[in-house]
Amino acid sequence: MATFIAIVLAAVLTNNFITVKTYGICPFLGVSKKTSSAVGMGIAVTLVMVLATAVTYPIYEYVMVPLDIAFLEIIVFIFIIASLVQMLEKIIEKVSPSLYNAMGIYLPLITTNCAVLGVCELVIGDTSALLDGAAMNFGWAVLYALFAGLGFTLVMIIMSGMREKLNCMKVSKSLAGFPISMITASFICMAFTVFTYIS
Amino acid sequence: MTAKEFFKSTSFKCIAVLLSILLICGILLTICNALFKVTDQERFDRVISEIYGQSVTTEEVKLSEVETKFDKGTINSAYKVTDDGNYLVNVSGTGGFAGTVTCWVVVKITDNAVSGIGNVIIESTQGETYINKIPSSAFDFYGDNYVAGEAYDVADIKNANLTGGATMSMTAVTNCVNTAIDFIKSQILGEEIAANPYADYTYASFIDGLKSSHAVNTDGSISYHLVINPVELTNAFEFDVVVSADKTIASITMTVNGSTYGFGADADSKVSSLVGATLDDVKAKFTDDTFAPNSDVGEIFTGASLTGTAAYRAAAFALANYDNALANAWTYADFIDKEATSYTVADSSVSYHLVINPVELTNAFEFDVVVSADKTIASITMTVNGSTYGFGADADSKVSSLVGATLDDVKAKFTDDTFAPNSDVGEIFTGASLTGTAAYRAAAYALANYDLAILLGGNA
Amino acid sequence: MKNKYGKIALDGLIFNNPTFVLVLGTCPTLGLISSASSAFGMGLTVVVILTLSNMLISAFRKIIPNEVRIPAYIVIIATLVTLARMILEKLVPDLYDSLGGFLALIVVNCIILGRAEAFANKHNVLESAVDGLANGLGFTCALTIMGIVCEFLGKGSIFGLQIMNFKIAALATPAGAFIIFGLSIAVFTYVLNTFMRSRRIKSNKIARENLLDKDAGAMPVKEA
Repeated sequence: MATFIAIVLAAVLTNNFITVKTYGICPFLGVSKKTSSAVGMGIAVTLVMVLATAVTYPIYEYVMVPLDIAFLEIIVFIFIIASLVQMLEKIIEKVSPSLYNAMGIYLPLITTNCAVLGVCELVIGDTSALLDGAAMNFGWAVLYALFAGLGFTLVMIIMSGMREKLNCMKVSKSLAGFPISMITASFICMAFTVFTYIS
Repeated sequence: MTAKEFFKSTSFKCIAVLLSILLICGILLTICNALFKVTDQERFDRVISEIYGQSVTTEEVKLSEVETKFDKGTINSAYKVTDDGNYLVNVSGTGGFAGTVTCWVVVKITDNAVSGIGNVIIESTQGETYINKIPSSAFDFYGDNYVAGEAYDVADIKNANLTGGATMSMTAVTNCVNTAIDFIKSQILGEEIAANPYADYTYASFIDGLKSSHAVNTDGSISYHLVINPVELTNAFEFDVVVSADKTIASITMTVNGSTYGFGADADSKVSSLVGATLDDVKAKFTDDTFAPNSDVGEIFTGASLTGTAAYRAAAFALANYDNALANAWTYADFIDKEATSYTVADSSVSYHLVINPVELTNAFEFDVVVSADKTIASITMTVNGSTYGFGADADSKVSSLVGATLDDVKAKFTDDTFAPNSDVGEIFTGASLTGTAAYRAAAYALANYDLAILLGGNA
Repeated sequence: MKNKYGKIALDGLIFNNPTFVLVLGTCPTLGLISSASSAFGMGLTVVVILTLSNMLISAFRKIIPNEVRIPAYIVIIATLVTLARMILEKLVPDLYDSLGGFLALIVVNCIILGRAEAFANKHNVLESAVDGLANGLGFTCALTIMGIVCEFLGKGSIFGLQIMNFKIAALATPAGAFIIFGLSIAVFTYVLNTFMRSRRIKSNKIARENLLDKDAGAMPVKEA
């Protein structure tokens, strides 16, 4: 239970992917103009993060490490993620066209989202900080991916809310677009530093 | 689709190209991996060159034969640097902000004794996000302030204004350094490390056993001086606690307030609210045996729940260990075999049946000793002679020469409290100084524990 | 012909600077500019990987079928990144440590896949190499400049050398990185726009003068 709480706190607040690790910034800046698209992107990323971790972690831990080919991790992981995203897109398109309309357009963007490869690399690395010292296993890895994805979605939603308001403001020409978005993002990061005092 | 068409189709081309790229990349990477693999030896050499700036010869210490787990850290590997005789220890320390810190510590050796600390290099800092705030001078602190026989204290580093907001990470580093010193002293140099006398007590983790003490009073109460380990962000607290024979707190005062930022300023007076409390009263304030600080405590110690928690931990330790403290109050307990020994109290005199542990080369001895109310030996007889080779054959009769002796008389025959056999004893017990020593030890044990035996009034 | 390479190089370095204009590869940028030396190290690593991947993809562009080009590019890039990781760990362990997780994440750096998709699969090897080098250097310059600013303000040092004791610690965190990145883009855009406007005015002026010259020669030109 303590480990569960540690994972939730670390993944969502103290080690948030966007505000602390700066993973997954491209979709964070690119797809956060409207709250509806931010939610769609956030859920899509979370889904892919969970699936990718669920596939790559056992492959790394039970196939690559025993075979002593751990050095191929990047190539294997990115290949798995790319295939997974492609498959997911086809499946969603076939099974639920309405879901595909809401979410499918974000899927192709996800292959090159560092948050996905980032979480796969994180759970096979040095993880005692994520788990409050407990040993990593498959369940914790997937759970961590899930909450890291939810943390990502949370910040996406906050950001989109702020940008929707920002649309009504007059912004100096040089600052318009990316600069003002980044300064907005900076304030979210500052707010999130408060959570690093949780111990 | 025929086979021929398939081989000409785009799908085949796609598969073939992708597979061949994968294959070529895989082979290329395998070759490069063989070429560029960083071995453990290489990692170690990097540490060496960072510390010494040149290559030195080292000898690995085999850890399978020695103890590697210590209270506040674990030894991962250790090397003797043959060039200068120092030791290089890789150690993980606990107590950090979110994880453990692993360091390389150079322990300097002069004349077969630890003479100081050289470089301290952080190897990995799992999750210690604040460790970057530690200035390098904090690591010099260890080398500059080594005092033989004393462990480093994080509070000292704090006083030198070195931690820069990374107190907890620094705690872990300090634990690494202290563990490395303890390891070299106890496992490599064979020195005795003062054992924590309270290790087997309930709630032993709350207190600093080496700095705490207790004494049994004649009325059956126990006075403790307890050093309570830091509670989360505080420093260590010190309390004087007296537990009366009915297992309630007779008095409790805080002698050192470990609270930082002055939160516990008015807590001193509130500590006395614990007087009269039983163990159950104290436990009721907490949800479980970890005694984690909570708002319930904060209500009593307004706004100072950490200080309050420390006070409650002190009270709990004192109350829970009342029986332990009494049972361990027997003086000279290491002379006797406690399991086989018994005593009875009658008319304010105490009759013991004592089994004395072998003295050097002998077997165990047994004595029946009666101590009278004026704390002198009323009678003493040897029922089993543990002397080998018959040296103590005529010693039986000489045992009775101890009748009438006081504790001071017995002590006077020996230079110190270890009661080591000596020629003075040998003169009385002609040629049988070991048997004589056993007799004196029996007498000393019987006399010294008279008060306690009367107090407990029965078998223990 | 020289002019063509010059145009490719200028595009990558300034007019289509991957960091300031296209705003690609933001994750390593934000994660590493708190230290100038790790920002510079990341930049150089990307230069090497980007140039090599551009050359390889350009060389194989006729062999790789269009349908599987993205997976093929990713495998090539991932191989290069793995190689870079091995070599750095072996030869430059300090840089390897300071880049941390971002080293593996070069694979998903949009600049590299972006250049492969937008340039290398349409141009020859030499042009692709120049493009990779230029874009890589554009990324490196942007990262290093922001790294110096960020490290100086956030830690009081430049490339690890302590210069002053005054520091704004918040600027060495992701929050500070966002602000500095945002302001840098604003300044760059402003300078670039001003420069472009002045160039446009100048070229318009030249065109008008040419027109007047031609008018003077009593040869009126009429465009459709």
